[in-house]
Amino acid sequence: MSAGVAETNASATGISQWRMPSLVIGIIGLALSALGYFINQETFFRSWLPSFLFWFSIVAGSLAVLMLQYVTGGEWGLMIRRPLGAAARTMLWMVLFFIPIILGMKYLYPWSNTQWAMADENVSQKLGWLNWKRFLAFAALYFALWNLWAWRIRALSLSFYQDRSPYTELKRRKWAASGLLMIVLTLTFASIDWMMSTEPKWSSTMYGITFVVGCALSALAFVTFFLTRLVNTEAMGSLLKPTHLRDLGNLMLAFVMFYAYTTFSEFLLIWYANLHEEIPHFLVRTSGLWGAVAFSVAMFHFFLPFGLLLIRPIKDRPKTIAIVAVIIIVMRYVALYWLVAPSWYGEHFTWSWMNLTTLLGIGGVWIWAFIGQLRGQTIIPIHETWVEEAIREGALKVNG
Amino acid sequence: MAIGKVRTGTYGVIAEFSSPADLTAAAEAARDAGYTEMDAFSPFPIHNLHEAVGMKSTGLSSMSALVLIGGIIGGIGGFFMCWYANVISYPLNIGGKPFNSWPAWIPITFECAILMAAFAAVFGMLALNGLPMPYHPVFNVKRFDQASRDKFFLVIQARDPKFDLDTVWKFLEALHPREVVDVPW
Repeated sequence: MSAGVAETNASATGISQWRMPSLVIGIIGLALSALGYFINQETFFRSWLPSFLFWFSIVAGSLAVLMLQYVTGGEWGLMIRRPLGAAARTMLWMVLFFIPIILGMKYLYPWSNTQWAMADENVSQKLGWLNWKRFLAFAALYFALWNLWAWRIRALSLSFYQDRSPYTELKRRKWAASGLLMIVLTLTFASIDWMMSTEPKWSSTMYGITFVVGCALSALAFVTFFLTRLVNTEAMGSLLKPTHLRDLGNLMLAFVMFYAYTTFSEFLLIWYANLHEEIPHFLVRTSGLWGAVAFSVAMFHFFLPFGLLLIRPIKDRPKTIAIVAVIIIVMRYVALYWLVAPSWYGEHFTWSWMNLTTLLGIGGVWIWAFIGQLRGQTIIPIHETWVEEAIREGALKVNG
Repeated sequence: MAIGKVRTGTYGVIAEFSSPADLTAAAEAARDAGYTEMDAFSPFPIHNLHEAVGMKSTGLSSMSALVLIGGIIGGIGGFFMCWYANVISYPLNIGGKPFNSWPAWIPITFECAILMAAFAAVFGMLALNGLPMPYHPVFNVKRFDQASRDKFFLVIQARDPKFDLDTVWKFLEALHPREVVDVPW
């Protein structure tokens, strides 16, 4: 059994064939977005940020869930460790995709207009934090830390493959545990810098944790969907059991509920306090078409996946859990767009073709990079602990 | 005379196994052989054993239906309690908000739904298992004490439509148990 497992590798699952098409889609998307830049710079940058945040949330969430798996262990993470690690290591590409946000700061963040910011009674007091020098320095720090942890954990995994020493594993676990603390803090501050400061007068203490939870949800939905694409290949089909998908379904259920909990708590506290400084955030986001978007977030980001993920046959079958994962992935973008775009457009619902081209552009290149990281690796880390547990029951089924 | 109905005869046939894998495999073999009324005993929970003894793991079981109903009753009840108190019984103007301030009631609604679902789960579990149950025929088997230590038991009950003492006995023997014993009522 284990010999057969050792010989399967990523190319046996045929994922390489998706690499070039996605790169082509990515380049076309980026080219069209570049065209859009010359048509309307403001729209270009305001389309880029939500698209960047969407793909970034998968990458950052993957790093977080990967570290969670290294801390807790458990069979649930075995099937997704490779895609999580590959996604986490694409953080270097996210540095590249962040550059347009720096270039378009004046269109994205009202506080970057110092004249206006100095004149505003509220914002002028926040300029110690909301200024481009600190913004850039902290962004550099976040990316440095995320890349450091992603690649340090990779290096420790490689040396564990060599020496099989429990001390190496312990060291990786320590990095993962400290990394969880690091990533929750940095993602909190990154969400304040990159998203919340689109509305410099408004603040919420729930904002950071909502984003962190959303990242984990994005990552879990993405890797679940990815796994279901491989289920018909001989290599993965013989390993993947309904219980693996059920575990991932349960994790998605937990994070769907966690997201709903933080989002609703934020709304409830602000609605209840009814303070002049706080309510515009929700007044804008519930008026007109934005209100319809808010309703769709409540329905399809929470109620629908919540109900579906309660039902075990839906979690156990690749076809049905793939549909739930896609619903979540799509709603992640809708929720992120609903969170940032009304800051610029006010009550008028705005959607541009550049939103789509930037989404496809970043996504195409990102999937190309993601598969590049995954290529050549065994589909599961066969030298790791928990492997025996994961495949033992499969073997038992065959004998029974 | 004892109180209630005294049953005589055979409750079933029990086989003792030494590992959880053996028990699961035996239960699967019994299920595949067409036996439906069986029970398995183990010192600890075993993954997939409930499927092996033929219990439904898909669809709405009576247990999950109970919990769902409990949750729905709790949710509606919690919301109604808030609505009745704030709109009908004792309306108060709080910060100019409408009496029917439903967002503020969501936490109570949620908590009541959880509470009633948990009650339904605990008491429903006890009721459906027939607990507390001071007497069970398997206690007549001497080595059954081991079921709470390190042995694993599979019993095929006499009420199974396919039950035939000799056939069941031979079937269980063929699964290489440590021993096979009759269980009297």
